[in-house]
Amino acid sequence: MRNRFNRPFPKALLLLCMLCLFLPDTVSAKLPYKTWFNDQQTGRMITTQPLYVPDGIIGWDGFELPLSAPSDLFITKDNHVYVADTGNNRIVELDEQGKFVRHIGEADGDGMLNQPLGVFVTEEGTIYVADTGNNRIAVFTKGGRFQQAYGKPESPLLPQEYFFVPSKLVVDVRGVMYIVVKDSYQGLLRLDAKGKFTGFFGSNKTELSWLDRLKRAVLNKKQLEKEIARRPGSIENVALTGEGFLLTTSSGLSDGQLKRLNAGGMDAFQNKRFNEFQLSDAGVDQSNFLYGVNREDGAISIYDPQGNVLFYFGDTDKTVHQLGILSYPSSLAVSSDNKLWVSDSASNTIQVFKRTAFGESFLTAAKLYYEGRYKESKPYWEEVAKENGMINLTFEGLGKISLHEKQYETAMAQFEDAYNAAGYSEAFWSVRYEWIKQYFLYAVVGLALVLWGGRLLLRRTFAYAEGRSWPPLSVRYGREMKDALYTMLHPYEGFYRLKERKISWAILGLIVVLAAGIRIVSVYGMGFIFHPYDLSRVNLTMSLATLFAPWATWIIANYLVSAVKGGEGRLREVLQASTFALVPYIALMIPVIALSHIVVLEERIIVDSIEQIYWIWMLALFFIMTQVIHNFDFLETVKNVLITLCTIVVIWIFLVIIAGLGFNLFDFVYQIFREVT
Amino acid sequence: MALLAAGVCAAIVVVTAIVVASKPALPALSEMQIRMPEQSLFPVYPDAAWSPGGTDANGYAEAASNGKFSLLVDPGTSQIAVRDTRSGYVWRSNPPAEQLEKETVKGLQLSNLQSPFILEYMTTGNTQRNMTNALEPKPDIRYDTFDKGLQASYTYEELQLSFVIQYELTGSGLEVSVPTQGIEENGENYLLAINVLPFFGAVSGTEEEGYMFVPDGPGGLIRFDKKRIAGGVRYDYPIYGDEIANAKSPSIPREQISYPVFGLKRGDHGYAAIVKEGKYSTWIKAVPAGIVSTYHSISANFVYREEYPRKVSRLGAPINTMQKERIHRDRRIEYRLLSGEEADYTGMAHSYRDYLEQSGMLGKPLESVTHVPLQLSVIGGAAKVTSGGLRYVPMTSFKQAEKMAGELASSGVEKLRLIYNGWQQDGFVESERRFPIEAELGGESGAARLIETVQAQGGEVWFADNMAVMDPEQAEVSAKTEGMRGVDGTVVFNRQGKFMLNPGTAVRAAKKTVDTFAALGADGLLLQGPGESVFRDYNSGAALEREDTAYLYNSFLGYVQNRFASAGTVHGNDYALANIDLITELPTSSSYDVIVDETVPFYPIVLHGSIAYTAAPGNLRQMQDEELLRAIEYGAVPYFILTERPSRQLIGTSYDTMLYSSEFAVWKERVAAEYKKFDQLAHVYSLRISDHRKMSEGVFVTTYEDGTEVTVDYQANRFDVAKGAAK
Repeated sequence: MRNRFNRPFPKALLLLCMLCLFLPDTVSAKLPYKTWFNDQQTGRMITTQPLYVPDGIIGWDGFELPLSAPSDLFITKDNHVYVADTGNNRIVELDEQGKFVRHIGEADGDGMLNQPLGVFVTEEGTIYVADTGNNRIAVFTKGGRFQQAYGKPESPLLPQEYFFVPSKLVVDVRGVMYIVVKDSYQGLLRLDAKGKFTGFFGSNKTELSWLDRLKRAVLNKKQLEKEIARRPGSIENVALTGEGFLLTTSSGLSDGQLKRLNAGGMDAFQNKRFNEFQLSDAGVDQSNFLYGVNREDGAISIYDPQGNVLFYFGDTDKTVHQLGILSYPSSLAVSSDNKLWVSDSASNTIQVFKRTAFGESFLTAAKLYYEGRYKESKPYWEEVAKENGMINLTFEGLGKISLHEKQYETAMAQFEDAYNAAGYSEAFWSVRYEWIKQYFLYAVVGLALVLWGGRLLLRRTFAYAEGRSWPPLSVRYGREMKDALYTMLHPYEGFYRLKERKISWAILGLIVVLAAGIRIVSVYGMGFIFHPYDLSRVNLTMSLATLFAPWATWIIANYLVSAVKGGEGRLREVLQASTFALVPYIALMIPVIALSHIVVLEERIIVDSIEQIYWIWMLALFFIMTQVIHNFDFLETVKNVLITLCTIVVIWIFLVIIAGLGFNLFDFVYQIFREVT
Repeated sequence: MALLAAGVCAAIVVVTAIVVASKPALPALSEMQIRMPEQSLFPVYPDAAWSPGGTDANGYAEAASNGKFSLLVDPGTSQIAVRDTRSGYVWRSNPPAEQLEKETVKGLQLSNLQSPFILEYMTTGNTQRNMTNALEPKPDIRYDTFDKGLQASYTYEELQLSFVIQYELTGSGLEVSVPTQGIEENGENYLLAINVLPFFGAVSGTEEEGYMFVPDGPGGLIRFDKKRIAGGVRYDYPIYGDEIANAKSPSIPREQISYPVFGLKRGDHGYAAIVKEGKYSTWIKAVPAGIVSTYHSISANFVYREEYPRKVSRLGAPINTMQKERIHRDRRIEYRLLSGEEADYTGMAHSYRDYLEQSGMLGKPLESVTHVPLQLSVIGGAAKVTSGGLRYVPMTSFKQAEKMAGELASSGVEKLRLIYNGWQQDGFVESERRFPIEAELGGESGAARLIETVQAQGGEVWFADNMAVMDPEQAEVSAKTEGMRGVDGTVVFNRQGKFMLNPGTAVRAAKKTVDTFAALGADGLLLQGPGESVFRDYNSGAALEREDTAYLYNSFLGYVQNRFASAGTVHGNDYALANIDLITELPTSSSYDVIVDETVPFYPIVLHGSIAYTAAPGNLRQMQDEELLRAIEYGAVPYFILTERPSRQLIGTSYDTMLYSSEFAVWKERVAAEYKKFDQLAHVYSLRISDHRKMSEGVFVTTYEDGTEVTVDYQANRFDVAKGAAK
């Protein structure tokens, strides 16, 4: 269920939608950016009220020397913010208001920094600086005095040509340093507390394009050596979560852009594909929600603890004119009061975002929900539902609560609102259970009565029908209908009876119309767990076409092939037989539709297997039909069916090409028409 | 063969004729008494040469005087100054020369500081913008006199460019005009823009206390004493927003300028500058100290040609190209000089309000009320995008709206102004094909009954309509014939595939809305489009300037006001003010500009008592508490947009980008509770705001003309109303 958030969607499209502010928008833009989420049902970008609003911009007012290209942020437990003020060759400490406290990095001597790109402060207050320009890690005491430095570690495992250009780092409780080395594909460089190299950590996977794979398969070793080696993408940023996980961000990868690594280097997100391809940094709050900042569009994305994206907000501009707009975000950090601090190295500023009341309710509700504390989450979800009626997760959460409170009917409605089949099914199971408990005996007796009465009625009707003289046309239709049903169960005999015979168009038409009707009913009338999506998204024409287009092509192809291959059947016969082959679909789809309303998700297999049965059945009928109508032996039939299938493919390829060309021609004429008029 | 061809042609002609004839023609503009105005241009005074008498110690010669003010000119540099005869205070067009000696900028930037204008031009075949002023190269300057004023003509021999600036004293200050007839381009050089008096009253650093006032949102202040971010961030935006016909790439959303005013306060003096003519192609430009020079300066930039991205091929990146034709419009700006008490943003607002009143641009005052009206917009229905085309989604029927009105009345809402949206057939709100009223909602008879019921309860029923943005899937008119055309001659579509309807057609097509609902007895009409969007239409043969669009919209609003008791617009640009009584969604916050230090209720001060206005709908606030308090601080009236059915059903319609919570059942109690808060301000509904000030951090007081004080405390999240002694 939560996996639905996982489904990738084109980020580019999403951006397009967000930039549609070209003609005046209906509601005036108050914040300079929007907050939105992707509605999985419609694929639309739905705007919501903000979860985060700008709380200030820092960098020049109150600074003797304004920030210059700030590129890393670290927030301590007491919410003091350390900034790698790269352009000024120093580390700056700010208080929780963003006021300048002090700067670290000495004017000369060993403590002089050169273009530091990263900073980390331990619990004890020791300041580690990725002193990039000096190719070292510089360590300062709590008081800001230079303590020691670590250069490139000596190790036989490190290649000679390995450049030690540290850009970011974190230090764990044991004093082990995990260092991001610029443009290094090996992953994080790990140094123990003494500065000894202890291996690489958490490297990305090499991404091979299909061309690379082909080359690997085809080229020999020598040729391969000449190819430029494919290297995994480099890690760009690293952060330490409260629980000791390492959060790495890499940009320019197609998956695993955001990883949560445990001590063993395993990614909790399993190299998941994110739709944010240019993440420059990510941070985590105390409830384990993740926040990523995208360099490409200046948007900040909020993820749940499993790494599923919940919301986006923000925008980008070349020059930053407005609060909340980012130009070249370099780092993001989350303070303990859940403010987001984002450094922007192009505009030489740090922007701070604070959570809104809505954001607080939503994220609290979601946190409790993910932790399974449904009861506690109730007031928050109710608050969220009041403020925003668009988000599916709200209804999922409320559904879970109703389920917990044994309000099964309400839960069903809420899960239906959330398009959540699993939850719905769970609630429905309880409803059904209650119902069976209460009415089982009546139901059995009722069913028996209905069966018995129905049988009686059927018999009486048949007796009556047989005892009466019918007009010849009705007799014919009746017999043909009977034959259609008979063929379903006795195909060889049934199809044999069809030879040299003309079934009336009325009955053929009726079967096709029935099949189409059942198809439509199956689209709209199946139980909710079989279509947990917005029905208006269904393309009815398309779903009819998926049934009838192959069927119609089959008729044509089968006739064409058999005619060449010496089959006996005429077109009419093929048509008749193929139509009769639709009967199992009609016959079995009715119980499927009825059952779909009764079963729960775990029993879905019943419905699915019936569906599979009628498909197999129909295919068998088509096969037998070919054999009987054209009077082939078994092997001939197999051959014929295979050729027919190939023909179907050819026909479709042909149709697609014709359609494509036709469209081009039409477009050409239309463009000429447009030019002329 | 020829016969056949002739036959086919004849058949086509006949069919076309039948199709054309069978389509009901839109009513003519004249049926609404709308006639396009004749353009009369400002005169130029060619031969009344003025010769300066003696100059004073500062190099100024007196050129004109009207008792209150005298106009001084430095004949050499053509710098001007205005002296308040009573106080002797002098406003200078440029910083005095002795002060400039300390200035560190050099070259053109330094000479700009000494010039009464900055001119931008371009040479044919060259895409570079060039800048010049009254010093580099020095133009030929000639002075002529007229009535109470002085005309300075500038001729650049080399550039073959010339233009004139006219200065005239008024009762409240100085009027500066640039007549279009005075502009001559005889060679290869084209005029792009004239920035007049770029440094009028400019303040150096923190030599004086004060601020620049910019028309951002409700009003914004750029203070002199704030340190600025490096990187050249300035305020430079066009009045009424970017020209959409010039199809610039979308930028970060901001509140567009909806009133042509800017101002400056220095110490005990200040001015409000009102762009009176040519405001549709004027930019307002504020540059704080430290960006270019050490001066804080604010001015109007008169734009004559705009840059636009010209698409060369479908795939390639567009090339920036300059508009060919010069915008032939006169430009005029009045600096209303203020001092003492009035020399602040409230004074500037009062001054602008006086101007609007004097020139008949502000409608009749509101009548006093015993209870504040609650503006309740309801959405009838909408069109949802589905795989099978657009599908109708009913949200609130007329009956359900009646029920809402009843429930609100019983929960204490004393006066309701129900605004019914989305009554159009099939929920086609972005279409000129509106009628019949959607049957599923109750049709015309349902609407009539709704009006009757609500009016019987003492409320009002308005209907809402959209005139500008059209969805080609909904509209009947073809975008090709009636859509706004961009500068390259093609119809401009936004990325959602929508287009702007030609304003003439829009007005003609909307007549039926007016007539139908007027006949049904509705109380008013709320229009989306006329209050917020002005644009050019480059349709060959029927090209429209932004002025024309505004004129058409405004005339239509006049027609609406004739037929109904009241009229309203969504947003309210100043040109529409004469013909409306209500503005919805008036911006109450700024664009979050880094350089705007404070947001002030300038526009609310101008409007209050004449036009009722709402802030953002109460159910769609971005920050609940702050925005509610802001609405009360700014004297707005309560507003909600609600639906009977859950807002969730709007997913897939054009409303899903804005209406994230609208279900009546969810909001009912909060509406009633909020109404009671706003109703405490009922007695000031028709009064003007006489003062607004900041008491302390987060505490603001708005004073009305009867002495009522509304104190809003954002920190304590509360407000108090202290009634004044009624006059």
